[in-house]
Amino acid sequence: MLRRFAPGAVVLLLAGCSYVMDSIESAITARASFSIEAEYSGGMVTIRWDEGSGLSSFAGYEIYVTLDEYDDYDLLASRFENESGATVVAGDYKNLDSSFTGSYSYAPPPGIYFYRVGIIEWDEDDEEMQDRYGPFYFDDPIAYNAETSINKISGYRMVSVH
Amino acid sequence: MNGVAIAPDARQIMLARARPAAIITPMRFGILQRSAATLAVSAAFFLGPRPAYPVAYEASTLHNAVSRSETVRGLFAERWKVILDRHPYVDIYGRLNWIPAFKVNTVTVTGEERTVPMTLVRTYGSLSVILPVGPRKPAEPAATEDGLPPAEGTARVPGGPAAPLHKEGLALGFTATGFHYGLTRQTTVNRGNAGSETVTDYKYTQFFDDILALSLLYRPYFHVHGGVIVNNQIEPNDDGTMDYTDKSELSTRWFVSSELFDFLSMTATALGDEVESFSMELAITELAGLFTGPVNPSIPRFTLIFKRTALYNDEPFDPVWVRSAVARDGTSKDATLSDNLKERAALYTLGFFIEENYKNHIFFDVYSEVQKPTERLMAKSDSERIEVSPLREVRASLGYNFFAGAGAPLSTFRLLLSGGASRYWDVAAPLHRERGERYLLYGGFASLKLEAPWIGVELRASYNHSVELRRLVECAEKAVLEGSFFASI
Repeated sequence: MLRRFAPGAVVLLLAGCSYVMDSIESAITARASFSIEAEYSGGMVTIRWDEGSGLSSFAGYEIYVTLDEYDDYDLLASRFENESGATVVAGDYKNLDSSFTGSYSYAPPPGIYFYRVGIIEWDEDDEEMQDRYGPFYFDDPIAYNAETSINKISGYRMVSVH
Repeated sequence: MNGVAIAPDARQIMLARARPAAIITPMRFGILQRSAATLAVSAAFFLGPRPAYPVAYEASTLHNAVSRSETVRGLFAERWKVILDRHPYVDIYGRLNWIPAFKVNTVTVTGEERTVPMTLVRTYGSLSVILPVGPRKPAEPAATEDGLPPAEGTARVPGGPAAPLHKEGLALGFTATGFHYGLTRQTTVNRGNAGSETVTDYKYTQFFDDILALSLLYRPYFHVHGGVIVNNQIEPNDDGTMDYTDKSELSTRWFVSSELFDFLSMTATALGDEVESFSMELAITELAGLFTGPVNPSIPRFTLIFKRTALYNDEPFDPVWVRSAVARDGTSKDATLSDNLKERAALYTLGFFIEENYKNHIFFDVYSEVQKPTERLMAKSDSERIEVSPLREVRASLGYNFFAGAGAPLSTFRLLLSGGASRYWDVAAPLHRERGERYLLYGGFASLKLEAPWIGVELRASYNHSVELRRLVECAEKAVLEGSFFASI
C-alpha cells in the first residue's frame, strides 16, 4: 500500500504547489527569466550574459533598450539589424547569431538606459523552414523576421552615462 | 527586408545624440528604487492624505499571513468538496487569475513619482491522490442521460455527471495545494521588423502559500484532513527576475479539518500553540436527513457557518488599530510598535448559506454573513473608531445548465452560465478602492463553465464580487479575469 502511495505523494510534492502554477503563468506571460550585467566603460556600454540558449532552434540574440524604466523597449541590435536600424545582410552582426556569444558593446549618447537581452528561436522546425524558405533560411532576414519569436527574455539593467 | 534600410524610429532618434561620455556610472537601481519607493509609500500611508491608488500595496493585507492561510485553506476545502462529490482517484486543478490595471504609485530611479499600471497575478494549483484501502462496495451507476441522479433520494447531487468510482469505504488521500500572489509588470518589446511581443517582470514581494495535507476518509461517514500550511514571501531581484530559492520570510501553520456524516464539519488553523482560526459548518438539510431519511434533491440545502479568525493584530499591514490608536505605554501606535504592545482582536462571523440544484438544470445559491469583532477597531487613517457593520456579506448567484435534458452524449456534459451580485463590507476597503472612502462595496460576476466527465474549464469575470474580495480585498473596484481547468480521474 505504502509503495503505491509514495510515488503519488512525491509527484504531488513536486508538482501541486504554488511554485508550479507560478511557473505556468510565467511561461504564458513570458516572464523575464535570467539576469544580465551592463556597464559603461571607455565610451562603450557593454552588456554581458551567461544564459546559453540551450535551443536546437536557436536563431540569435537581440538587444533591447529604452530610456524610461516603465516604457516599451525597442530593438537596439540583432544579427540582422545594427544600432542605426540598417539591415545587416550577412546576418552575423556582432556575432549575435552565435549561441556562444555572451556580450555586446556599443557607444551610446549620454543618458540613462535600460537594457534587456532576448534569446530568439525559430518558430518552426528545420524541415518546415527549409520547405518554406530554402536550405539557407538561417541567413534570410525575411525568414528571421517572419518566423522567429522570443524564447527567453532577460531582466532589465540600467546604465547611466554622463 | 532584403537589405533595405529601416525607417528611422525612436531608437535612431535617441542614438542620433550619441556622444561617448567620459564619466562611467554603472548603476544598480533596484536598491535605490526600492528604498525610495518604500520610504515614499510609508510616508504617504502613515502621514499623508489618502491616495487615489493603493500606494499601500507594500503595507496591505497581502502581507497578512493569517488571512492568506484562510484563503488557501478555503480553496483546499472548496476543491475537496468537489472531490467528495466526484470520487476520483486523482484530481488536478489549476486557476489563473489576473487583475489588470492594478495601479501602484511608485518612484522611478530618477525620483519621479508615478502611478504605474501593473497586473496582480494569482495562481492556484491543487493535486490530490485518493487511494481506496481494503474491500469496498461497487460503484453506483452513473448519472442518467438527462443528467439526473440515478435514483431519487440521494442526499447530495453529484458535482457533475462523471461516473463515480468507489464512493464508499476507507480511503487515504494526499493533497498538495498552492496559491501564489504577486504583482507583475507587462512591457512591450518592439523587435523592429520582426514585430513586437510582450514580456513580464516580477514586481515587489511575491507570496507563496502551500498546503500539504493527508486525508483519511471513511465514506460516506466521515473524513479528516490534517496538514501544514507553508507561507513564504520572496523578494524578486532588482531586474524583475526571481529565484524560488530566495526565501525571505517563511512561516508554518498547522491545520486540521473534519466532516462527520456530511452535515458537521470543523476546521482549525494554528500557528505554534495559538489557534488563529476556527470554523464550524452545520448542514441543516443533511442533519434533518439523518432523522427523516434521504433528503429529496429538490429541497434546498441550508448550511450554518460559524467562524472565529484572529484577524487584527496591530501589524503594520493591518488597516486598523485594535482598541485604541494609543498604545498602553501612552505613545501613539505606529509601524514600529513593539510586539509586547500590540493588541489583538478576533472577528466572529456567522454565515447562512442556501443552495439549490434544480434537476441539474438551474443552480441557485444565497449567502449572508453577520460579523462581530471582539474589540474596538480604530481606522489608521484618522484614528477614529470604525462603526463595524453587523452585516459583512450578502451574495446570490444563479446558473443555467444548457446541456441539462440534452440527449446523449451531451447529457454527460455541463455548460453552465452563471451570474451573481454581492454586497461586501471590509475595514480595508477604503485603502484599496479607487473612488470614495466607504467600507461597503457592491459587485457581481459572470462565469461560463464547461464540464466533461473528467475534465472541465471555466472563464470568469468579476468586479467587486464578495468571493474575490474575501480572498483579497485589494481587488476592490478592479476588474478580475480568471481562467481555470480541472482533470478529475
